[in-house]
Amino acid sequence: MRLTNLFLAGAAVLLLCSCKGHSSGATSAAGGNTITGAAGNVATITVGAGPNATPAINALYTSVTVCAPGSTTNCQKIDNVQVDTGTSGLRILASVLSPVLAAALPLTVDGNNNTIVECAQYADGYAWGPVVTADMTISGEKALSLPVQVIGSSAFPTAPTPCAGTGPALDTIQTFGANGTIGVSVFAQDCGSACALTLDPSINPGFYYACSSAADCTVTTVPVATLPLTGATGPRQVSNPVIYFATDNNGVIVELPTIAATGSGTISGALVFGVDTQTNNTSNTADSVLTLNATTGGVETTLLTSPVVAYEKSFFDTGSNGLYFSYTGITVCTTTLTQYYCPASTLSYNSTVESSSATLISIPFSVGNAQTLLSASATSVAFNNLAGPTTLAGRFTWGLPFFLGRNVYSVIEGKTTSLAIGPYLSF
Amino acid sequence: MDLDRRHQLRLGLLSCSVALLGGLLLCAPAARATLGSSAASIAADRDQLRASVRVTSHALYEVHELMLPNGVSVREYRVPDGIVFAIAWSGPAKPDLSQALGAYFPGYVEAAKANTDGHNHMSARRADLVMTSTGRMRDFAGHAYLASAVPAGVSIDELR
Repeated sequence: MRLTNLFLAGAAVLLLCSCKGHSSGATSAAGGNTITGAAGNVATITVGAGPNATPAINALYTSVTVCAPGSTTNCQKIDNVQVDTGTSGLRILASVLSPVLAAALPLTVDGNNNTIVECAQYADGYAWGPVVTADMTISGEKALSLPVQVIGSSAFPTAPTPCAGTGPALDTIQTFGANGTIGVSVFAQDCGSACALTLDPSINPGFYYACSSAADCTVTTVPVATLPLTGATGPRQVSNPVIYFATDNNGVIVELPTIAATGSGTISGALVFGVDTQTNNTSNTADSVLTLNATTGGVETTLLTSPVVAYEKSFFDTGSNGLYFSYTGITVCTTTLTQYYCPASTLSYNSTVESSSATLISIPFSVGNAQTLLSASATSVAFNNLAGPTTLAGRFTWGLPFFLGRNVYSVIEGKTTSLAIGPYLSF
Repeated sequence: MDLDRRHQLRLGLLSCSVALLGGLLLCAPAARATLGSSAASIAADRDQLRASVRVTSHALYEVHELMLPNGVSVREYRVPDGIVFAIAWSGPAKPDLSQALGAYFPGYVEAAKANTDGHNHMSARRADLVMTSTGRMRDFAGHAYLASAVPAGVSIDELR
């Protein structure tokens, strides 16, 4: 074995250590994570190539089974569903649903018999499609009568102007990069109370529309789910499926293995449902609690390596494939890889993230040369040091590399564990 | 020194629904001035809803900020008596970028379609147009600027 390989392996262990502390001063503790084994509350998650011909990079997928409400036979297992800790809700592309199942998923209608159609906004586009009701199963967990978005439904082919004005449509497997998405963020709904307040509709962000026909849609309000569900009917917002589980419904643990700094082929980890609800999902009392902003889900990040830079808004997101931040002095790649950094040699940085409760957690990370990483092997799809520039100051995106080699506990707003009340992360 | 004057205005362009909900109209107001244009700013638009505009003067440019009651903010960076060289936005939803970016919206769409960062982040350049869009529902932010039109002495970090 070459010495360089040994060195890289050692470096990988070092850069993935999880170091924690409080505002009195961060302390370090050696990391190394254990992936929870198969169980009814554990789904396999995979960093893999995804459904498209061009392999995805640092994209996280799982499988879910969608059934017509109340049916155990009109069901379809859907793979390559993206796991997104940045958003909430199950969304499936219409093109992957079997006609038999699609026809049996009831449209959500309001009191005037208008169909509720959503404009799910993303940073790089929008997903337009109706809200339906479905039963979802993932591993042994069931979310019954779950409000789900069907993206790209032929019944609602064209988004209204304010929605289409937010970017390109993400309504095909090619453009969406997945067969659907399961959003398991710290929020119970994708929008929340702002989309629900009928007394003050001017604060509505405008994600939900009431459509009397495909061509006649107007922004509307949609209530949040009131749990436990008591057979109540009427529209509800597209929701984090976890809150619909009978148990294990207070959050998730995202567990991904440690990989080499040179990258890895397909790797698998675990999405564990519930925190402190089973013997296999107990909180790690050594972890610090990073309370997230109750409105945005964000925290502040400070890059401590000179020059020190503060990013007042940052978020932890398996839906982003790299660490994205503006920083002077790191060479940006050229040609077709300008979305990534390409330093001459791997750079090491230290940073802290700070919650509203003033807890400081230290996060060391490294920035590799994306050109070298991505060209080393055609089968590599996972990288723990993939980072890129952004021109917008004050923002730091902790994408998938952050999650590699960690067990990240993500607790939903208002939900309680032995450590704290959500929304929070601990790792 | 910043000159800060705040006033209510009426918006000329509104995407209003006629759906009566609780007796109130649901409207999605939109900024008028667009990237690269020298058209009258959003401050020239008409008052409607409870949107407000704040104009802030800096040494090399003015910022006209349209703030909507739903928390969405659109800021246009203009050379005095000149063109809008940058647009920045933030809030729980994205603004109508087809209006804010005007003739440059197709460039954003093209870059967004080519984006491989994941749906919660994109940063790209198309000719003179440089743009970043980040965040997810509940918290979006982004900007777009014309690199050749940014006045000398203005840091990109200010365009946020």
